[in-house]
Amino acid sequence: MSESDVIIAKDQTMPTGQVSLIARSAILIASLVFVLMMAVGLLLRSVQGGFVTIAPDMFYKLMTLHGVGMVGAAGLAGFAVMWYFLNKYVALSKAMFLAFLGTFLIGVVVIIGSIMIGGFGGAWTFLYPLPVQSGGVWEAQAAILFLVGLLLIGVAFLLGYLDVGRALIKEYGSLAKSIGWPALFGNAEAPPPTIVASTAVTIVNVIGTVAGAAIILMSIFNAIAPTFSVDALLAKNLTYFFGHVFINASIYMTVMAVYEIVPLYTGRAWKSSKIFLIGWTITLFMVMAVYPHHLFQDLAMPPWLLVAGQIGSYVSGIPVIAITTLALFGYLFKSGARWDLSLSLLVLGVFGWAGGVIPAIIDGIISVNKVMHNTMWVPGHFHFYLLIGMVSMAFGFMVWIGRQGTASAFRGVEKLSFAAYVIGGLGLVAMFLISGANSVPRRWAEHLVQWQSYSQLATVFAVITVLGAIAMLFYGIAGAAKTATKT
Amino acid sequence: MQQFALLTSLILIFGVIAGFLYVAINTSQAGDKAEIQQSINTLRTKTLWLMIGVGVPLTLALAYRWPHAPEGFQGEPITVSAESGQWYWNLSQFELPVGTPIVFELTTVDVNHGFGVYDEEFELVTQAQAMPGYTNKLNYVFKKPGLYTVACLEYCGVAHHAMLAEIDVVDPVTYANNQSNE
Ligand code: HEM
Ligand SMILES: [Cu+2]
Repeated sequence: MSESDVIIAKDQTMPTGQVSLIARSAILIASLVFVLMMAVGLLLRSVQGGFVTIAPDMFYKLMTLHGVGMVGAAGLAGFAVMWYFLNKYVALSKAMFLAFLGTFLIGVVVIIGSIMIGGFGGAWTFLYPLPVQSGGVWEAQAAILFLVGLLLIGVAFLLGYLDVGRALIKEYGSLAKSIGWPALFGNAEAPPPTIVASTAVTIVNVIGTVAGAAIILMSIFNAIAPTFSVDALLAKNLTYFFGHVFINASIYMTVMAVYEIVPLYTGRAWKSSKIFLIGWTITLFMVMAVYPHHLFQDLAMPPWLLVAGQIGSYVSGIPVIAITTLALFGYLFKSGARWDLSLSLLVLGVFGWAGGVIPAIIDGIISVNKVMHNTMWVPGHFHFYLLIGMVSMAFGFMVWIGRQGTASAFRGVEKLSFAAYVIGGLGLVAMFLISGANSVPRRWAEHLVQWQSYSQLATVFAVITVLGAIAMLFYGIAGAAKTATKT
Repeated sequence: MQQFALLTSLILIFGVIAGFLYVAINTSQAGDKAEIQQSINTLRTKTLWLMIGVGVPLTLALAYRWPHAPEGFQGEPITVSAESGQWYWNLSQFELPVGTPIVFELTTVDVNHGFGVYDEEFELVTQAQAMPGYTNKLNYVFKKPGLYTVACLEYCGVAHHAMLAEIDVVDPVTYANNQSNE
């Protein structure tokens, strides 16, 4: 052990044994999916750049696979992080987690079948009525299969959240208590950050998943009996409400790794301060209220709802920057913490989240949205907070959990891999944003010639990102293997 | 507009990057915990007030001039019906005058489509969604003459990227002549 080695702090309260094993398996599965889907994303970008030629139907199938695979893996990774740390405070059922994981994986298999065998290419947002009106490209059966797969994943998450909700209520008495309202409005002792955040996530994601299940079921009915039709505007509202809540919740769950692991490096506990509690209470309502920012160009929407969406989309960015990011700054600054791979990934993750909020807010201004909506600006902002944000935190958790209590220096190769991930990711995101600012539409299988250079540069950055991500997965697996042989 | 949005975003993002780098450089040193906590609290209060006190009025101001009703939209508008379907645009007229208010009545016979209008330099100038069962009215005033392209901006299946149409925007006199010749 050299001088530069850091002993990855081992907190005695951290769950071990089966809980750790389950969480490690889940995060490794999610990370494997991340890496595989990144390779698919790389292929998509190189097609747009004109480097590779595939038929448009194949492009859209792969785009659907990339989207649904990434969103599913984000949910899984987030849930694994939350579930692991919650085990410190409340009694969760391992059987329920396995039921969640099992149902989730069956859903994944069904979805892959619907895309690769059934030919479904209606995008992960399955916007009604596209799934059943493909213009003759895929059959209704493929759409039904895809929707059933999604429904299974929804059921899986509901199982998981019900157990989390049950455990929170059992331990704290009610969700109002576990989100910290008695401490916020009175002077009761506040629950730990993980408990507060878990409560918010559980509430919003149960509501979000139910909304998602409703539109999925309606779409399935419509596929079986086309005379049963759904109002297209209602369908859009439900779909984006669900999608917005679900993807945000996956970030909220993953950030618990930051709350729990960063203090092991800094020696400064992450506190449920008043402002922290206010932040989560605002987020609880805001994450559900801002989804109309996906509907700015639907002129049938009531204008007041659009204005509320614009203000809400700005306000919901405030806690990320003014509360989470600044808290992290305070905990890190002159703490004497030593940088290693997992700490670097976790901090990068918060950066990605805070950075991604900026183009999101800009696009959340209706007059900007008029000329940015459904351009590459949109994947630009969400790859920022998913690829550089959420996935980095998930990787940080994966590396940390594999190495707990062991000595680890921030070795040269690790620094190089980390740098690759950062540079590749930032370059990739920058190219999306620049493309969007130059009016390049999103979700186009073939780009105009004058747009191809953006995609070509992006492809180079994507290669670098994928290499970095493969290295992260490798460190995760190596850590898991070591821990496995030790026990 | 787009370049301004990009520039604003980049400046703010670089600000965030600078903050992270500054903290990262100072992480490994030792410092007084209470003192740091104090200055972070002050910084947070300032940031919150800045984001609420400046940001909220700003976002309100930006919504005040209703973005879906463009500037210069005065006088009797020309109504153009734009029917969409997998995968075509069917416009009631493909020639329009510059500087005149136009109302595009967007409909679809099948799935959601996005009516995106690109100018000659392929810059997106306006858009709105076409939604099953609804007629969405998009107001616009063309500022320059030229050959515009309508492109689909809502994913609608396998030929989504090929769903294009052209609009010839000409000066009002030419437009009037061509109309009366018909
Ligand atoms: C190497 C990394 C990645 C590359 C090269 C990549 C590339 C792409 C490309 C080219 C698209 C289609 C853009 C368009 O034309 O609209 C896309 C869409 C998308 N990506 Fe990624 N991506 C990467 C990582 C991720 C990650 C980490 C996530 C989430 C955790 C993610 C989530 C999505 C989603 C949700 C979509 C939307 C799909 C749709 O429009 O239906 N991607 N990505
Ligand atoms: Cu389309």
